[in-house]
Amino acid sequence: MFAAPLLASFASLPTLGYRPFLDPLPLETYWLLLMPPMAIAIALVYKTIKLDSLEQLPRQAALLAVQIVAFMAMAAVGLWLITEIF
Amino acid sequence: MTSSEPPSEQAWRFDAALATWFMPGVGHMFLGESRRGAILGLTILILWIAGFLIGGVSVFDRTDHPLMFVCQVFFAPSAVADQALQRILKTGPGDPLPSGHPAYEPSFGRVNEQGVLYTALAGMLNLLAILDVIHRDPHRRRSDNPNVGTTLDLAARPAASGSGTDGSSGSGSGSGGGGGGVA
Repeated sequence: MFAAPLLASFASLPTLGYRPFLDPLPLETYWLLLMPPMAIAIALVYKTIKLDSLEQLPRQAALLAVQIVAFMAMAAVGLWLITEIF
Repeated sequence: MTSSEPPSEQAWRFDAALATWFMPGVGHMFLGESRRGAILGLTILILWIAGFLIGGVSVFDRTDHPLMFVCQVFFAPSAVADQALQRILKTGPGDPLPSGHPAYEPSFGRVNEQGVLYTALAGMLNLLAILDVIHRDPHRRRSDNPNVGTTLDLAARPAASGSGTDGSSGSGSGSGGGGGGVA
């Protein structure tokens, strides 16, 4: 019953297997999801260097990551509005 | 009041900076900040590997995007990956190997952008770590080091804390265990 769609999905796979570090990942449509991990990494490294005590690190890094994502979203909305208006 | 303190033990740590260039966080570990170094190393390494996986080896192409490569090269393995791409994999633009399989598949569009961005960001964050470790005073800012404020720390410290004429700097460094948490 499920064999036909399964075989069809296998047939649509590329003949060559994915080779890590040599071939790119098929993430064309998910590129926006890759932004939050980047913001988290920036916040984590910055706060790790900046803070004297690492006790506050998770909270401070999370706060900074949220701020980065929020300001990026605000900038995106602002730029989108500019393109829509002008 | 800080001008009276002699800059005795704070030196330029080029060895730690060089170690950080090769492997993020190792320089901080040299200075005794293992936890800080581990967090830095893991974060930057994961970011770099993620970019490498997302875009493939073609994200390290100094002929394709030289300015981004300048950012990437602040993490030394990026230069190794670029050399592998230029000398081994890139026999020609898109030339296949004798086996018929392409040596690598170049990435395009958003995937390439994200891969380049991740690896370039890893390089820039590693530059931050290098700049931090190259002139980091191991006694002034640390409060997570178990030796700070203990007899081991005071014994290792030269006359800087003892000769502190002002009470604030002397007590600030001397009571590092208690004051360090506040600072």
